[in-house]
Amino acid sequence: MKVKLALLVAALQVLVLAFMAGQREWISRTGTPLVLRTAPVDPNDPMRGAYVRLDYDISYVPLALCRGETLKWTKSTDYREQRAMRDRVVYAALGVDPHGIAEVTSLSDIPPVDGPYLKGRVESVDPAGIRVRYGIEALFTSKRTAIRTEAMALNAKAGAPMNVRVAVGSSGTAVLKDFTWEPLGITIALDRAPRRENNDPQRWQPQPTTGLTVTLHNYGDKDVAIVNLPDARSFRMVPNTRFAGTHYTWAGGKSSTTATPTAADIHVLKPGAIDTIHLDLTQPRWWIIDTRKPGSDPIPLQKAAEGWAASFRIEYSPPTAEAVRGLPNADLIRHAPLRSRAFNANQGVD
Amino acid sequence: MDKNIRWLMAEIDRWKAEGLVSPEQGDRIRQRYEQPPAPAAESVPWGLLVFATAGAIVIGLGVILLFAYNWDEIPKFGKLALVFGAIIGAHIAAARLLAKEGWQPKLGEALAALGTMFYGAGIWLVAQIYNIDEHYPNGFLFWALGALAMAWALRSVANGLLAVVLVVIWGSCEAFDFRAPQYWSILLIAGGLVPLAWQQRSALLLAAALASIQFLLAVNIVHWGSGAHAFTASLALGVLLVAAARLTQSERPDYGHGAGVMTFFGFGAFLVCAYLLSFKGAASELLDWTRRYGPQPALAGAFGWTLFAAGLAGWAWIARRSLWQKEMEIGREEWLLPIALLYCFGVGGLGARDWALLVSWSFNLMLLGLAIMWMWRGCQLSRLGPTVLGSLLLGAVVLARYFDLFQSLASRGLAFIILGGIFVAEAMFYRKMRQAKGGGA
Repeated sequence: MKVKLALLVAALQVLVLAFMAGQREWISRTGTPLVLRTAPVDPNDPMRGAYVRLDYDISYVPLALCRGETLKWTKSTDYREQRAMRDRVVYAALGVDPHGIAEVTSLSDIPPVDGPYLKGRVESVDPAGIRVRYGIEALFTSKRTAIRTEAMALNAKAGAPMNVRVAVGSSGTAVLKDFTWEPLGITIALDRAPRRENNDPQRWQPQPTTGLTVTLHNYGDKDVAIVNLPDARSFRMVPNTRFAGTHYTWAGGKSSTTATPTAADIHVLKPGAIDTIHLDLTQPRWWIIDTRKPGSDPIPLQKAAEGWAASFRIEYSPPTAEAVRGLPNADLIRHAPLRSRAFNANQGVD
Repeated sequence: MDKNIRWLMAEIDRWKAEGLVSPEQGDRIRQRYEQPPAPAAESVPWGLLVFATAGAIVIGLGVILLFAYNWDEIPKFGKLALVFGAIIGAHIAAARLLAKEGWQPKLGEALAALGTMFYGAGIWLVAQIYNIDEHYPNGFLFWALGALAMAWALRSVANGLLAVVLVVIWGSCEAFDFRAPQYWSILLIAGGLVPLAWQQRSALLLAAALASIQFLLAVNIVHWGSGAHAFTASLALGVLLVAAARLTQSERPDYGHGAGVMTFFGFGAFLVCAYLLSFKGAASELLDWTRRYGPQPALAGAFGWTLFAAGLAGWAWIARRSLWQKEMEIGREEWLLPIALLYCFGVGGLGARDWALLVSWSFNLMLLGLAIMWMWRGCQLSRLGPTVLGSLLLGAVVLARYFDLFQSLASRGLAFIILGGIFVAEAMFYRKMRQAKGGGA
């Protein structure tokens, strides 16, 4: 009897593992294929070894996309209540943008009635949105591969987004399959105003950011074309939504003026080539507005009263395929927007 | 044969030879205490089994780390075949040994523990292969459930110990890493492993289970409510354990080791709580249930009151057996435990924060009373254990008051002289009583 019971328990143990593996294998083969955009870092897990930690664009869902109970959770300012929200199950409805990248269309505590969705758990809640963990944030590799991937993200592929292919099951469970690097990368270097004379060495003096040098890199093995419109109109400043304390927005975002691209604006980057564009952030085009003061006048970035809260990314946003149709090398242009690492009025932040 | 019984048998032979008892009387006494020989137990190679079980667990840990290396060279299905093969192989080998006679089933238990370790390795390996990064404590929970089921299937202490460790890891990860304490971690051990320890009469498994319950209870209740809730629940658990120990000694004398374990953890918890309450500052905070830091003070209170009710019920049963039916003997000083429980829950329930001075004095007196009773009883019965425990407790109380009661060096010096005097008097009394009983000095 004891032996039979032991064999029954052993069979159950095998079944648990078989279910775990079988479910993921099934989703991997039959699930809805999607591409998610992410950036890697490289930690280590004592039980599962080295892995590449993935921070997806969809990991932080802004307030505007929260629905139902999730919207109420963001209203809480009590630390204990916010803490209690951790690990709640949420469902992120997904759409696919014109460039083939999946994006969150809404986040709710109940699954959407149709369309693909990801089941996740709340990581943290703040008044600006919800950080969600979807269970696909780790890509387990050998230590060697993990270190190489992280090194590529910092050097050989600096500023290039990583596209992760996942398969999503009908219950919202996702299986991470593989990843590729975007051929085009964006990096920034900050211009700093000279440090003022400081009589008190104990007091830290920020060096405000006055400009940016943006570099576009072709990391691929084929030619890639970029579009640099006059007055750097291919570039935008977007608030850094991953930093909950951001309360400035770009004043230029309201402007509806767009430039019509010409053949001269299209630059072809050979494999390994770069193109550098300088943005003078002291110019009115790059001024910002404090969202807590409706109707206030735009100010230069370096004049922001709370420099840390003026956190932005530079987005390379080329014209649509329609706008460049017929122009030379139009077929080489990658139209998906590309975002730089974040910076604020005082320094770069990630 | 128990060493005391062996001594008694030798003594009976001497009594018969010296004519103290008649041969018939001697034989009747011998029959009363003689134990049947246990040849099977004698032949079990315990050294081999203990090291085999420890080795199985260490091998399992090694396999987990080996898989964690993440061999690029082994394809996905190769890794899965390895881990499934290892689990099935270990369990089949275990089953073959379990079916045999003699000591080999014990080795089978060790192999079953190895199979359960492989099962745990499999959970993490499958997570690694399919890049699963979900709520990781669930991995420990499923592993613990596998170990618990195996422990019950085999009535195995080794698998039970593995399950205790895994439930504690699961509960700790939930509480510390996710701030989501799980009362199931306590219930799984209390309901799933304490009964196994009881059934197998295992003091080791019971000790591991009780230590885990005390740890998880304190950690979880602090998160649900406050330190005061955790404190009073720990006190109630201590009082309940001492009651359970006394009832076990009376009703199930064959589990004397288990009763000893319960006494150790019960008095351990009680003495720590009582000692803390002897400080005024601590007494004002540790019984103040109005300070609620956690999100679920009602759940914290429910655990505390349940243990309170169970503790009082246990002592009510003891009172019935000892005071009315006269079928049990309980040391007078032990009645201080239910009194302290009622007192603390009364103060906590009334929200009487201003009673801190009264509470601290009460517990100082309580500890002094307990120390003196233990010292007295130890000397009277010529037992070193209670004598030393009482002396240590008295010393601890005097040391605590050294810092907050006696302001001048003169009064501090006097306190130590009196304490030293008490110890010397105790030593003389102990010697006298021991000599009176015919023992050595």
